[in-house]
Amino acid sequence: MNEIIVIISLLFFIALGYALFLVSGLLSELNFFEKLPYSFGLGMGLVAFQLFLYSQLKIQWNYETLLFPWIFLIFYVLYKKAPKIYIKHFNYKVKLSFTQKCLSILLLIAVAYTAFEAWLRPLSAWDGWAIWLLKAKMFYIDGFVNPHAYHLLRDSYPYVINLSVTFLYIMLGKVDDRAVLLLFFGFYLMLGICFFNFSKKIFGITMSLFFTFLLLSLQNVIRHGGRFEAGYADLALGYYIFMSSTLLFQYIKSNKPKALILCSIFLGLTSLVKDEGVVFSIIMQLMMFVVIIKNKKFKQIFLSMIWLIPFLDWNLFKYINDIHYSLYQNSTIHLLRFPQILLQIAQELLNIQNWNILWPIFFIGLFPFLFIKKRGMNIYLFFIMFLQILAYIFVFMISPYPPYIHVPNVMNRLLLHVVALCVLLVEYVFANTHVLYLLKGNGKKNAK
Amino acid sequence: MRQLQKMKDKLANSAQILFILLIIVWFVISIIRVANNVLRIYTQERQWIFLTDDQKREKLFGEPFDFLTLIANKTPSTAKIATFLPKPDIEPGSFYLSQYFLYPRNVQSISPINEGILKKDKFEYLAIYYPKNYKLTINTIWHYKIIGKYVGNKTAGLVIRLYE
Repeated sequence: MNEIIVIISLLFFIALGYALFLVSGLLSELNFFEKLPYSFGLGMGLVAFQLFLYSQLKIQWNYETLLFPWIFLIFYVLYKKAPKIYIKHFNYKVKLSFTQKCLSILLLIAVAYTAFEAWLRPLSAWDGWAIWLLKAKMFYIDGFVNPHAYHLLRDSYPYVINLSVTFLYIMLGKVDDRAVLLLFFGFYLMLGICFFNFSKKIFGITMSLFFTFLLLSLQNVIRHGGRFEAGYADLALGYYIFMSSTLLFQYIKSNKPKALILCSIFLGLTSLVKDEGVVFSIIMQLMMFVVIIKNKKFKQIFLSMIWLIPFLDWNLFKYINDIHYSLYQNSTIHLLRFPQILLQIAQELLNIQNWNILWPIFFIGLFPFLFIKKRGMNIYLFFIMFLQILAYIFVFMISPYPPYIHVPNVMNRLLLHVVALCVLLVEYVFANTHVLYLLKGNGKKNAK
Repeated sequence: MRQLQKMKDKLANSAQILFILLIIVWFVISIIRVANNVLRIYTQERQWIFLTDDQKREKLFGEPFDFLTLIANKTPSTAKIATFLPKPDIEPGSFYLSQYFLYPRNVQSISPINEGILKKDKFEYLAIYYPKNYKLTINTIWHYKIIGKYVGNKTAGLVIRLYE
């Protein structure tokens, strides 16, 4: 029964996000299936923000106060736009070839297995019971975002994951750390759907199914999506990073302020999932500046900075309540660690158990990538990944722990943040080398 | 210059061939792993399916879960509890785990245990948690009476004593 309530709550996130898209006209060019992952992320983020805001305004958390405003909105949208929604968003048929059917079956097996694993066991991941679900439970029992929890646990991690789980506990009426792990499966599924949709538009269905399968069958992704390590927030962050990146591409493509606003909203949520999300949001802000300056649309600069509103609100809360715990507070930079850090990272990149052979392929793929003339938006993709990993290397340099302890402990999770971007880049290179080598016969020419 | 260009082309083509071959290998590995995962449902996961959630937690966390369940069952939710582990390394993360399972009880780890801490009436309960082969030499807990004991026989072989 609890699982059903959690699934209904996750569907509620989607319904809420979707209703907001319909009301605001954001992502109007996408159909229902394409809007789905964005709706989930937006709905969940907004509910977490709602809980945080209520706590600040001393409004009680219960079914009525939390659900009423959103249900009203959803019913309004259904009443006003239901016939149009059906015609525009649900009325499409898909015909799959034999190869596509085979790939779809493989994909469904991988997804079904992860769902089963997410359902099977209660929480066992360290960060789950030490940070994310622990604070979710504390907030649920206390009935508000209790600053004491941060002081007791001596951390200052942001609230989106904690409060989303708290919301699920409120819906359940009790703490059930097995049922709520379906939320983490939700991130896995939505990341897959978004990846499929995004790459389908560029590379076609077959290629998209092929690479979505490669992404979703990575053992590390499966583990964080359901098997044993569901409860860590890294896959969630990877999901928000991928969403925000695709929204940046949509903005670059369309140059519409609406796309920029949505991208910025998602950046705000990304920065509130984990502290590493702040680094990503800053990188994305720089990218947005570049695009805005390139297009000379200076008025859009303020729109690109919307993400700072929830981020500063969170920091104000931390400042008022004197929450400032960081591992790196009194750190100094150790430049001599650099070779050791690279060595430790390389060990993780070659960890076949976690990543199959994704990372060696990625690095080999960089050679053809350099020779592709029209790299288009993928150059942004490359820089996002590069700068994000560079930031992690910097963090290892200022860490109070030596690299041989710190890097192996966290690197498998940090790479999850950019794994979808990495697979997308590999797909891009594959599509191009495939065309270059097999169709144009480049290899034959040079052999002669 | 021409030779350099030739070498560059050769390198690019070799990388392309290798790249495509590796993608095929990756796909094959992925299929094998998915098949292995499905097989694992039958070989490994089958034994989990019919367990209760508490039995699953016991399997996942081992004796610390029994220890924390004992405390949760014997103390009210408003209790102030001091936990003492003579060797904290026997259970890494025990502070967070005890918070997770015992919240809203006020749980604090004390180390080392001494009369001074316990006499201040700061705590209503004292939970001591140590390996079986560890010689516990505490004579200063005279004003606490024992209300629960658990002797583990699993991997770590832990002894738990709960005092009020």
